Amino acid sequence: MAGRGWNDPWNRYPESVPLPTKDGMATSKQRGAMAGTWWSKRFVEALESYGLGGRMSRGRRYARSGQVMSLDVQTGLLVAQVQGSRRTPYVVTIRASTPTPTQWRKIDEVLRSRVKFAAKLLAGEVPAELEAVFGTAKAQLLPSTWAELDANCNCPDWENPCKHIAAVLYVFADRLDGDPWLLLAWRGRSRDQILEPLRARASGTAADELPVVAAWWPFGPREKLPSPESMVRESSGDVAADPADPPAAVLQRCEPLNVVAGGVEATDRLTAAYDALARRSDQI
Amino acid sequence: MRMSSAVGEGVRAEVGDDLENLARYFAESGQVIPGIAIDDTGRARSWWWPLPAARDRGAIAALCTDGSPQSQRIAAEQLATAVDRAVRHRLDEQRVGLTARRSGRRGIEDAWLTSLTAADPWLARSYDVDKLRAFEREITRWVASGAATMGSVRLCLRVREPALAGADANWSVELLVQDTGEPSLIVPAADVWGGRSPFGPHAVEELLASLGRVARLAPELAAVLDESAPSEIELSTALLMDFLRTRIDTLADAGIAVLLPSWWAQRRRLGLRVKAKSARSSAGSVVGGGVGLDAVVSFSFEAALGDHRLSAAELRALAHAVEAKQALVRVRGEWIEVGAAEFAKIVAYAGTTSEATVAEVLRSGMGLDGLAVPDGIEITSVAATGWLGDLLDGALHSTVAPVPTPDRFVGHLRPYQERGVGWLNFLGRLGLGACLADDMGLGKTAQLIATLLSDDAAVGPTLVVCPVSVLGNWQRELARFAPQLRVVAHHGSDRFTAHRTKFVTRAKRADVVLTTYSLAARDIAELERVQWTRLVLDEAQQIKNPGTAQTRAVQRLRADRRVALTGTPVENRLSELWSIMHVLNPGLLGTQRGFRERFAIPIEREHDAASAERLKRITAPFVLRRLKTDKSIIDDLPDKIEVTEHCPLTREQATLYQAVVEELISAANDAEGISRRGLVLAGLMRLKQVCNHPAHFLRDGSTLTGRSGKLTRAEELVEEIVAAGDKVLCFTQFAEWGNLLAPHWRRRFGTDVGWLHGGVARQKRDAMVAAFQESTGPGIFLISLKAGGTGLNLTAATHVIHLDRWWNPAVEDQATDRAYRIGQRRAVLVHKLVSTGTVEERIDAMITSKRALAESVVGTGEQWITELSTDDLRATIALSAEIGDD
Repeated sequence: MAGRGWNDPWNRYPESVPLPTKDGMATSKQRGAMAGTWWSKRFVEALESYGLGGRMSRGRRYARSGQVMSLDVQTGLLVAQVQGSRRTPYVVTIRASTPTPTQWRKIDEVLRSRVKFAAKLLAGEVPAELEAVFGTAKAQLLPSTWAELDANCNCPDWENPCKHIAAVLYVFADRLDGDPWLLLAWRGRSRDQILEPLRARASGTAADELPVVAAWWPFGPREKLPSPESMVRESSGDVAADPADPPAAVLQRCEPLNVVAGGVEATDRLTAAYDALARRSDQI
Repeated sequence: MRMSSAVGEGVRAEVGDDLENLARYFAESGQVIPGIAIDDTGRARSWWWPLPAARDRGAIAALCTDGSPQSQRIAAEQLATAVDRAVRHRLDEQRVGLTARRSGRRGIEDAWLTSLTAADPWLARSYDVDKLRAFEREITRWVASGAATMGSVRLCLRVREPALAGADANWSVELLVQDTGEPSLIVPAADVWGGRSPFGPHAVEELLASLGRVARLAPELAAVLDESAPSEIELSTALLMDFLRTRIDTLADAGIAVLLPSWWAQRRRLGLRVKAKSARSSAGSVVGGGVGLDAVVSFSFEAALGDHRLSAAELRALAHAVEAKQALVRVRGEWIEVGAAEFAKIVAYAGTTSEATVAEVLRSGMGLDGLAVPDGIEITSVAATGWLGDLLDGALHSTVAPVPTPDRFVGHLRPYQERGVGWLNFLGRLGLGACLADDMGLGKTAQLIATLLSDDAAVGPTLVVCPVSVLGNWQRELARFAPQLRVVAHHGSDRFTAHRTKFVTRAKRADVVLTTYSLAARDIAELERVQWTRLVLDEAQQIKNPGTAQTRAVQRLRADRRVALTGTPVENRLSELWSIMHVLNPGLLGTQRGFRERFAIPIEREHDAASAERLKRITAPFVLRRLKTDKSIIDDLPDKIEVTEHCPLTREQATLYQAVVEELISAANDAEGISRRGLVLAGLMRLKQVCNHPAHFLRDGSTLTGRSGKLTRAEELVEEIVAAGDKVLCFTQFAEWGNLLAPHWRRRFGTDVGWLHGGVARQKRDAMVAAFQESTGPGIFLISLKAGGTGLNLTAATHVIHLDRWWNPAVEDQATDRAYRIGQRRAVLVHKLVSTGTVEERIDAMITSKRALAESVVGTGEQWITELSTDDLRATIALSAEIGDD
């Protein structure tokens, strides 16, 4: 211990040992390269371009052993807690620029013009063309240099990026491999925001203008009904309930009904009614 | 009612009744959901609304006159009214109340639930309108969550062929969305993009995600992603081929179905057609010792699709397509796959001629390996003229010319027997083995004897190998139908020593040599020294096991013609079929191991219909089986056929028989009058017992197996009858014999055997009869002749076996008539078992040959024998020479 302190010229810090974590976000990959996809690799490359040396491998070890306790992805901001050698986890923030509304309008327009973007994202891929789409709008999708990332950590290490920041980026890259939507969320577009225009189009062109026919009406308010030909039914003659369905199958199709009357769940009471409906008349 | 006023406005008039039915159906199938609505005055009422599953949404769409919002609203209102009424009616019927009656003020929720089962749907006016509206919003949102199809959907890709047949025409792959719970519900992707599908918004997400997977798994379709609402994509023929060959399984694993045109699974390839010529056009003109499976025939190859020979123009068009690297080509309206290398090989082979054996050509024609052709090229069909063509087209049985009853044949063949003889001759002259598997009682022996007499080309001895139990029958049938034939029975312990000439010499001079399977194995060294003109294997199921000594011996016999006779449905017993065919037509079914892999395992374990069909095709020309139940056969048949089965005594039986005879003769010599008659009658009984079985005579409880020729034959018959799925009545006049036999047969055949005798109570007897008449009941019914004489109706049986003889035709006939009765539509075969060389045989001969005398003398029973002089008695009962020794 003695001689290993502030004034030790050879080793200014003791080799710190991080406290073990119970439910940290250990990465999915425990050996080899950390990023598996081209888009997540870009993060690791940006990090590596800075030349962290030993902090790089320590950061990777942190990431693998689950020292990153949480990672919150917000528009233009990553907020993470990293368990270091002190009892209180360090807080890491990584900021990045997001497209302006004007830039987003241009991007959105392209995203709507082809199903490719939503389709590939839904299939678990960042479409390669997406970077060009951002580029055309003069916006950034993936970091090309470290300078584009504004990273901070409240650890005592004054080197930036520190191993904690490195660990957070590794974990983020790892999560991007499995969920490409995170990349867009970080740049300011949620999955719902991307899909909404497509959904709206599919649920009727004039959804806002036409009043709803009835809450239970299965076709939605729109001009055209499905043609009977497109809805061929296997048995069109005698109708019989699907014997596999329990009487109250309809209740399962709906969202849970949070109605309680007289201390009893309404669904429980309704189930009795469905049972009665299904009962044959001769079983009364 | 509001409903009636609206009919004709928004709802199609003709669905008025349907509406009520539909509402009732929704109510009874539980496809309803509770709702709430508030009117303009701020009063709320509960509703039961329909909430149909995906499969029933079409019925709702059909209610609307058109798709306009106005029409939809009217239909919705009317259906809701009808459904609400139907549900309340039904709940009232079932007396359901959702809430216990409680005093005090109810909350909105409680009031709503209560009103759902009340006759009056309206809630009290006392509730705060804002609170009501909030509750209405909540319920409405809840209902809407269940309204859209929540079932999952999947993407289907439907391949459509180009409308025009040009080489550059593109195929299209249509995008469709299918409800996985309701696979018949398929809508075009365009409907999903355009909001016209029955699926909710989640379908869009699933469609998009599936398209993303398609682009990754089938890059040739990636271009679909460049559209804003893709509905189909075009592919060149080459890309389509790549897609179909490599992507279908991958896509299926990713949950994406590919719907192929119906022809894809049955698409054919180009191949070679073999055109063979056999020298003569009909069997009748084939002369000499036959052609045989080893005979060489010449043939030529032709480029073909299936059995269609490709014309020069078609070949030119194909050559163009191949040059243009077009993988799918339309030939005669059919898409076929063709590769350049394959096409080159076909073109090179087409027009060449070659030679092969008959067996090779037949095997190729039947879809087995036969002719040597280049790798990967298929023999698509074999066309042949003449007898080879007859064999290949499988219609041999009906096309071969019948042979009229030969002059030297004593008797008359029935039409189906003439066809059988024609068939035996046809195959015989070609040197091909034949398996005549006609049902029992159709006269296989007679057909074979007629064949011996009609085949002028076959000069030389025929060897008949049979079980010892039917050897006597053969001798008798030969003597009856063809008395001029020289028959040598190679049989008995003195078979070599009793003759001055050598066996080979005698055999060569004979027309027919009879021997048994066990002697064939024992004397194979002698038997194989003769080149037989014909080898006949009777009861060929005896060689069903390829490994046994008798099967191996039979395989070594040299014969120009080979015939197997069997009454069991040999086609259904694959190892048996192989073994018999291996003797008849060696090489036709390949090695035993190959046969197991190719046919036995797929057919027996995997129930593979295609393999069964192929096997049937290849064996059909060589197996002829007709059933008594065949319409074409039964017309030729009398209702009742009687067959006397001559069964040899075993050595043990012969010794016992001899002892009883001597005792009886000496007793008859010494006695007179009533006591002599009694002695003779008792002696006759004991002789019959010996004929039945030593254990029957000795009553010592000893084992039954292998000690009685009659029992052996009876069991052979029963086994064959039961194997064919038929039922049999067995009559005996001895209750004690039935007592021994019934338990023995239950063990021997592993099935219940009814045993009806005088001691069986009426009720039990009726139950036994009823059980036997059931199609699933026991197949064997043993009956004491005295018990079964009258009052029984046993029409389920098609066979009757008389195990011992009564000597009174009237009594026997009465028993036989149990099976042959009004209601019996099938022919009945009556087997009368008679022990060879015994009193049974002698009296049977008297009855059959001198029917008139027999009726006058024998008709009264057995009394007349007691009147015979001792010398006559001795002549009647003494044992003549034939004794089975196997």
